[in-house]
Amino acid sequence: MESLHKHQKKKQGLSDLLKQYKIKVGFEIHCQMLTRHKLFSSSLCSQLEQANTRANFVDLALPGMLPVLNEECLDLAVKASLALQGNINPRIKFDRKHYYYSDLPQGYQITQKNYPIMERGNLYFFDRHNKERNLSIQRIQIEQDSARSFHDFENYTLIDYNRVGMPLLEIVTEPEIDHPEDGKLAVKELQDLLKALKISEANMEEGQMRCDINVSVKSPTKQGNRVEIKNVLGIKFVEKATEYEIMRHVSLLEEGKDIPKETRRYDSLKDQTFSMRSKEQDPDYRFFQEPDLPTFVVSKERVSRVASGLEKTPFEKKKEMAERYGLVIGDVQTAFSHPWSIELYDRMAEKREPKTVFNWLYGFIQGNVTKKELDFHTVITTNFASTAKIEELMDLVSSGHLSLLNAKEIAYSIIDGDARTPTEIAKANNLYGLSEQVNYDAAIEEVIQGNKATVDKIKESGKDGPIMFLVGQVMKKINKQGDPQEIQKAIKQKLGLK
Amino acid sequence: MAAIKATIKQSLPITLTQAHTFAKEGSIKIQSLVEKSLHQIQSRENLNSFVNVRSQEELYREAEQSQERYDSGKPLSSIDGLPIAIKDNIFVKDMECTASSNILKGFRAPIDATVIKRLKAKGALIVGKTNMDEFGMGSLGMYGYDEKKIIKNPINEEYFAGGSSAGSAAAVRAEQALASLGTDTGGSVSYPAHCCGLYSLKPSYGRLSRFGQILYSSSNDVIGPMARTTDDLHSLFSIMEGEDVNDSNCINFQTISKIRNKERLSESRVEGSLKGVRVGIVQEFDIEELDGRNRNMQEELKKLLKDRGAELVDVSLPLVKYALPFYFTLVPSEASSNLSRYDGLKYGHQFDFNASQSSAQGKTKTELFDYIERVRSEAFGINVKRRVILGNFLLSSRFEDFNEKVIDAQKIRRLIIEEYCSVFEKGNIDMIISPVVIGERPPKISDVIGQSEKKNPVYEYKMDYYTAYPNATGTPAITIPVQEADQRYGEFPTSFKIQGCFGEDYHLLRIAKQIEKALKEAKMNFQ
Repeated sequence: MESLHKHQKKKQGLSDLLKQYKIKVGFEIHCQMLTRHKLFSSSLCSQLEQANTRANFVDLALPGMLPVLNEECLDLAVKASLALQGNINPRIKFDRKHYYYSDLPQGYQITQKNYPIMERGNLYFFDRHNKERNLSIQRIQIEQDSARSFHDFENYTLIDYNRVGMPLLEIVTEPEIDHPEDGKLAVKELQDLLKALKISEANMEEGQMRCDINVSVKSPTKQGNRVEIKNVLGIKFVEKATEYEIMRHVSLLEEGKDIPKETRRYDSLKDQTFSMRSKEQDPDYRFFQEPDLPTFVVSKERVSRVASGLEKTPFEKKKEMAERYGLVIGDVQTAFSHPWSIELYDRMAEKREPKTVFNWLYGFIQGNVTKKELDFHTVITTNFASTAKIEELMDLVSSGHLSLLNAKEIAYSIIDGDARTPTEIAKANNLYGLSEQVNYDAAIEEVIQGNKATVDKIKESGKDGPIMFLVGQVMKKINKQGDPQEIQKAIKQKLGLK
Repeated sequence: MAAIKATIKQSLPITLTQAHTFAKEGSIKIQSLVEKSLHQIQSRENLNSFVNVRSQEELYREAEQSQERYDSGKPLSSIDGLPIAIKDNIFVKDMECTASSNILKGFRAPIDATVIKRLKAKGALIVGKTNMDEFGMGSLGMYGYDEKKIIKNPINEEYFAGGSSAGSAAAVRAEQALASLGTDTGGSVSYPAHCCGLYSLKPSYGRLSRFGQILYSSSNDVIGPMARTTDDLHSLFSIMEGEDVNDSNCINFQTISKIRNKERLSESRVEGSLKGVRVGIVQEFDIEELDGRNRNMQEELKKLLKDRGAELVDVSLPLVKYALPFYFTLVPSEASSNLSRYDGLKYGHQFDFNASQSSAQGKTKTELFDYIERVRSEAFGINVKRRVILGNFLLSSRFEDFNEKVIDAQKIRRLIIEEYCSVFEKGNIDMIISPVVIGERPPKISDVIGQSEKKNPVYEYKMDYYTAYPNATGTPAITIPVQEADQRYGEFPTSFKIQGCFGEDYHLLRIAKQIEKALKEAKMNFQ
């Protein structure tokens, strides 16, 4: 409770601050491309294999070895460039970025400096008010990943070269984000896009997607320096790290201090950033055009081939879904947090009222599943036999054979493991019936007769509360088979209320 | 028996073409060629031409297999069973490969370089790895990893054999192999061939695969054969050339759209003459510093070409003077980058890491950098250090003025190439001629050793004035040894260089063959 309170206070503090300070946040996002082979060697890409079993002579930078571009990577980079609607350079080049470290066998990383695959693109996303926004993409470059180091030993470091040379896309955004939550939403949208288009598995926890954040804050009188936060490994930490960093800048500015230009890291356990090095300590990368590779032509044929197989981005699909079913973006976002469920939703919403389907799938069922800490996907596919049992429940309600209340109860017992069909459960519990006005009328008559005092009160005040009490009584009598709203209407009618 | 063997040795052929012909006829045995190679390697060990010789047992076994092929009338090619020496910066599977550098001591090539694979497939018999200047940096064969092992010139051991492919040139001159492979960055094949009186070819960039070649300047380095005749160069080149999936810069030249004459790319063996060959005489090659001997030789060559019906065309290539500044800007930059993989962590020279560890905890990074620094300081030789430091300086963003020079150098290269192509196309030129180097004879070892410390290393750079040009343009060049009919300059031959249009290696080889013939007739050839 205390931490929640602290969190709310922080949020409030932040929104007050944002009125006085101008925030600029941008991202450099690295993601591993989903390819079979490495960027410049024939080694297979896999991080799960036993250490150092996926590194060949090229990866280990033996003398005499040369990089050869894996065109699979080029296709994926073109795909990402198209999805982010940028300008694809017709000729691309690679450059060497030099520094010495044990995870970099060549002594340089092959990357793209002057002629990257794409420049000036757009990432569309829905901001914290569910408003459509655009974050400009400065560039996308193709580059090599480094090896993985394990420093957890006293006297030595272990290196796994399986990762070295794996293909990365570096996506650099403009510093256009002005709120930590929007930053998180933009990065999330990008992650969804990369996953949906099978460009990357983009799992941040496993390092398949890594996010560097640039933050600068301007007070009414002073522009603070840009600070880079390295390797933030989790969507929610993108927001938290940004938030922390903004607060840090603000308090420095308020004290009239300078913000040193530096590189920091985010400690998610402490929820703080720590200085790694000042910009002056950055290595001199000695950029140099890679002479072992030619200039590559990104042909129009290649671009149109990739474009012809290009799927819609999640953003486009969300927009379409909202328009087609008349849902609000917030609801669509909920649906898209389970991408596999979209297809099921579409199937069910085709013949039914979309909002009702939404409430069933993401409201009643998912809500209950979450409460019980079960896996939504498993529950839907096994317990509900994909959509079959959900559809049956909805249809029983709409045909009047089952009340909504009872249908929900049945859904919950299916979530708990009841393997029978909804109809079987309904019948076994004597909940199944035909909606007949007669049944209502008799029960309503009985309840009105038996609750004279309440009826009088209703007539006097015209308030809804007591009516709901009567509805409850009627529901009890008819074994919860009716629709409470219908019953409420009927009672009102009987009592001569509007 | 011994006496008979000695006479056989003397009468054994010294070119690939002869050896193949005799072996086919059955008049010599492959084993006797191997015996002679091994004998020469042993008896002239003091030349220091080899760093690594294969075992007699292995060589005899291969010779036997080759002999069987000849006996059954099915030799694999015109080089089957013929002893060839390989520069130590080219991978030969399972043999140590160090580029004469301590930093690669103990490193064994896990595979064959593409060119070696192709030579082996045609039956070539690789006798051993030849000594060189460390990583190919040097012009005199004095910067190998053992300073005492300076490569000596077989013509006169008091003189250098050139560099950096000094061992490969010395081995052929000393009949330790019938032919050899060198590598050329800015004259490293041409210059030793010149010093040792051999024919050599520096192919167009991209015609021979660099896969398995220890590169120091990726955009300049090419492998080139050395031999005693143009036919031998032709045999080796035709076996090795052609696209390679492992080298992105080694492509099928037939697919290049801007090639002026695709017929000249292929091997068709048109017997020709020098009649009608258009020879560019480059104004800028006639420089004040050129010595009298080479100046004369250029004149004699012009006369000879004209007599044989060639057309001499005066041309101007004003950008020639930028080839050397280009070369000494880009080459060290590429060298510093290419050599950054030698950190002592993965292979080659290492020392006990624990010995260098300080007791303080959590200093891993500093320790790593200390280690790398120590490995590189200990294992690189002086000339390599010079170039790496120069290259790092040139590439450093902290010296922006110089950093831009590297980009300027790349732009200038483009201009040099454009000028070269346009002169060739406009004048319909087949080739241009030039000296290989300035100087009447190779430098004497005693004149340089012991004094090199005092001498500005820039002195050595100037030697590359003529040889750096074909590397800047990526075009083919052939060195042709030549000696004045009256031998007035003594034992050492000189040479000249013919340089052709990009990709026209075969065309240039055909012209070279005609020149070789003409030189023989004029008694100006060197044997």
